[in-house]
Amino acid sequence: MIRQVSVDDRLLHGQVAFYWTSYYNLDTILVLNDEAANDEFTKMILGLAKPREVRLQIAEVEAGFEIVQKQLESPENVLIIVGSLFDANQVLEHFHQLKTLNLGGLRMRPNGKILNERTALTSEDIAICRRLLERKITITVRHSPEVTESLLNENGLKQL
Amino acid sequence: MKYLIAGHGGYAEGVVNTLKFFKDDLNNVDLLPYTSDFEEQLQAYLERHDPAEPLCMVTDLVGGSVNLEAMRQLRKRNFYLISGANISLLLEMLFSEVTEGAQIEEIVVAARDQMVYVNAMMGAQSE
Repeated sequence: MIRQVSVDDRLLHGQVAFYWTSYYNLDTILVLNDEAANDEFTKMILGLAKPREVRLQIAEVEAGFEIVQKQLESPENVLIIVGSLFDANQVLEHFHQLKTLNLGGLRMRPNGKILNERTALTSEDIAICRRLLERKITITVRHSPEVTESLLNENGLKQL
Repeated sequence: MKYLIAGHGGYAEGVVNTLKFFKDDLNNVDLLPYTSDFEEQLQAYLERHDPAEPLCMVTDLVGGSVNLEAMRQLRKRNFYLISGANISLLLEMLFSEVTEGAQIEEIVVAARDQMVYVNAMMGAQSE
């Protein structure tokens, strides 16, 4: 079962991996990212970040849809991580069974607006979030389960 | 050898405070606090650093974002990088005035023995 789809432009790193692994009792972390899937160095460092007992799979976004399909129906607890809202949108457009998205971390980029200390959104990001909200996708914002989850809504976007 | 300590939360400050307890002169030890622009700070530090002086960076967690960022820098620059160091390792490096990689490797291997499950150690001894 897909426990969460999370956007984190660092993809996988220690502190986040441990938090979510224990919170969801994860069996697999699936990173969907075109660059990472084609870069041996990135694959190696993501491997360092994963907790010992969790399986890590890294695939290109679209190529990974096959894996997502299998995981939707499997008893495994799976976390999907994507590196951008653009990729998140691809996944959510393809899999209508997935109705929530978490913003785990997006660093500042040119013309980005700060949402919180770990998340900045560009105008393209904001447009994607609006579309997702229109499709009734619930967007949560938190980098770890220890933080109270906040929900992103139209008001939140207008304030940016 | 210049040392740069970095990690999550107050790791760097904590480590330096602890080292100070054992060695007063830590002039060759710098730290990078964990800030939201850590990548830029690390880049700036490495750019400022005089490449003629060997640099050993020490991070807290091998899979954490601090160390992963250091590894990305290691692809384009020359420095030593240790992750998951314990205090014993750092003290040994400081006191034996390490200058090169082979020495570091030896000390890292030896320092692993300093991570001890004391009950087991004592249990074995009482047999």
